[in-house]
Amino acid sequence: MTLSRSAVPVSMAHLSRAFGSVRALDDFSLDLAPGEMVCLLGPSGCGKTTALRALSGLEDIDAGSITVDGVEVSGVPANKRDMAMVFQSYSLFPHMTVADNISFALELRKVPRAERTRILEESLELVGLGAHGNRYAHQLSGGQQQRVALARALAVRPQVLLLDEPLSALDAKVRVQLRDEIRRIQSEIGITALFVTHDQEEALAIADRVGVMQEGRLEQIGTPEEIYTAPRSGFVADFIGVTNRLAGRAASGVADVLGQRVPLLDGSADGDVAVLVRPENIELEPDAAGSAEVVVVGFLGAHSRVQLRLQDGTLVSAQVPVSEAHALTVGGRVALRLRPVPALAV
Amino acid sequence: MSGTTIQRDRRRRQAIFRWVVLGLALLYFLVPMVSLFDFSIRFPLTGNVDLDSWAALFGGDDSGRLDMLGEGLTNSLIMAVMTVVISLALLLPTMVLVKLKSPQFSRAVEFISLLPLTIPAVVLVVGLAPIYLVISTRILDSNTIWLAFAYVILVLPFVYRSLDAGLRAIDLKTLTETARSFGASWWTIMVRVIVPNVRTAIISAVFISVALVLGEFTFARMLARTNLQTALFQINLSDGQIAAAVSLIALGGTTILLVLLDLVVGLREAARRRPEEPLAAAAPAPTPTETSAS
Repeated sequence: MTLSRSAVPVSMAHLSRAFGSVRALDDFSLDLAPGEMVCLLGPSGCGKTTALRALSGLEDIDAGSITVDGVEVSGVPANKRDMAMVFQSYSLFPHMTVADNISFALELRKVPRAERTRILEESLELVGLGAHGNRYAHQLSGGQQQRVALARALAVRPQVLLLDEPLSALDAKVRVQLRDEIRRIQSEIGITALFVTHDQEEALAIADRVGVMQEGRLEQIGTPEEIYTAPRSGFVADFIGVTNRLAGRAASGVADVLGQRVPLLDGSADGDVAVLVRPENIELEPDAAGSAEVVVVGFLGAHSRVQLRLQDGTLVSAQVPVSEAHALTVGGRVALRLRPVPALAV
Repeated sequence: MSGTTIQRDRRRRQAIFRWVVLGLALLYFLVPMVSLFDFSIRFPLTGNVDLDSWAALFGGDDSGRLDMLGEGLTNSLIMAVMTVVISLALLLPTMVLVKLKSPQFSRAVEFISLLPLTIPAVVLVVGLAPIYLVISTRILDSNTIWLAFAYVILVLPFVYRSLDAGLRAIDLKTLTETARSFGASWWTIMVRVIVPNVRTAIISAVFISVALVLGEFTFARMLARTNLQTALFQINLSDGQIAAAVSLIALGGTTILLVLLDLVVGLREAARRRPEEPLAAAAPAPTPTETSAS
């Protein structure tokens, strides 16, 4: 495929950026391997967008270094960096057709006229919009507009593809569809990509590695599975997925929670702790003498989410297969068993 | 009475109302023009009707009055072009940069731009007189067209308002950042991205600037320059009928000019929007995409 080119590594080292007294980036470092898709995830204001904009050159940095394929680019203005961006808000030029939008980008990148038509067709095919070349942005749905924006970004064959919450303006179904498609195209072309989102499900589904950010720093980075199963801090555990905080006592890598023993992850605290337990790591058994009371049973499709109240009043969330949920009744008592999956104590 | 009859009655009443409003509006605009025409062909003292004044205009009058009129008209047209070019070149990049880079100054820019609206032309001209003394003796010369600089101040509030509305209507930040990320220089962004997207606003700024400059009298009169209005005034002193005829022509000319501009813009807009209908009809896309518009 002519749209692909050899992927390059990207390195951001010790980036700092302050807006007044707010440190949007605070000694932020991140390396992307060639062809890797990294998702930056975090609550709003955590600095994830600033990190992406710093890489694109649209935001200046106060300190630090950015290299792409080993070349320092931190002093290079945005229009001289070999990157392309897909924005959260619809960014197609409204006065141009879809085809003109892509041709214009190619023209800006000094692609010879003869090649433009071929690349144009190829990139529109890639996002499944081959028949829409002569439409204007206002004649397309939101999802289609973002597809075109993606096609336009890929058409210029950038070294790095930047995606700034490209799906957050779309409705749920389109969002999932397009998310999978972005992933497919990105791995097909093999381009190094940085994706910013506040939607954890999106990040876990799409990324090779997920970086969770807080207050301008990278709190943890790892594969989606690592991030989910072995969070390194309470913040990461809380931010990714649903987590129960159960009071317990921890010592030498094991915690005593609800009268049961739970192995602990590295980095866990000792003494009186809150043990962070995922809902799917809690098993329920209807038991008239059980320690918890069922408060709500919510149907989620393949699973049911069960809310329980412990004797001390703590609310606990458990996730059980729908077939097991049938046996539960609201107000009924259940016994609660924790799977021996390593958890974090904080 | 059946429902359809009631509806038909209501529609007819609404139609009548519309025509009445349109008629009144036309009357309001046309009565002065008809009176002007009447004045240009009827000799005031005797009431005799003749076309002498119009004949003098088109038949070649050797008194030199028309030379002055020609000079005034030429000056005004040149100044209209200069004013438009300078005010747009000054304001559009300024407003774009302020909106993008230093929004904290937008209030200041707005205030300064709207200020001329609150200062009467007569007051402005008192301040401008010594400046024009320097301009005409030291920097440039006493050519009337340099008045365009003063006219830029005069049209500033209107140009600002038009452009502001236009720039508000587009997502300036995303559009410029997109263009930048694809490698566009600031000049390219201005010419290829921003201007086409605020074209309607620019056209309306042009309209109002042209109309204002062609109708300007105070500055030119008080600084002793010759533009269309001062020439008309001068002719009016000696021959009111010719002045009336010329006023009418100037009015008509301006109207035709603006209508033409409007038509050109309208046609281009229509050409741009046209692909909508056939495409919308052929909606189902042969792709795995979502077909429903958001």
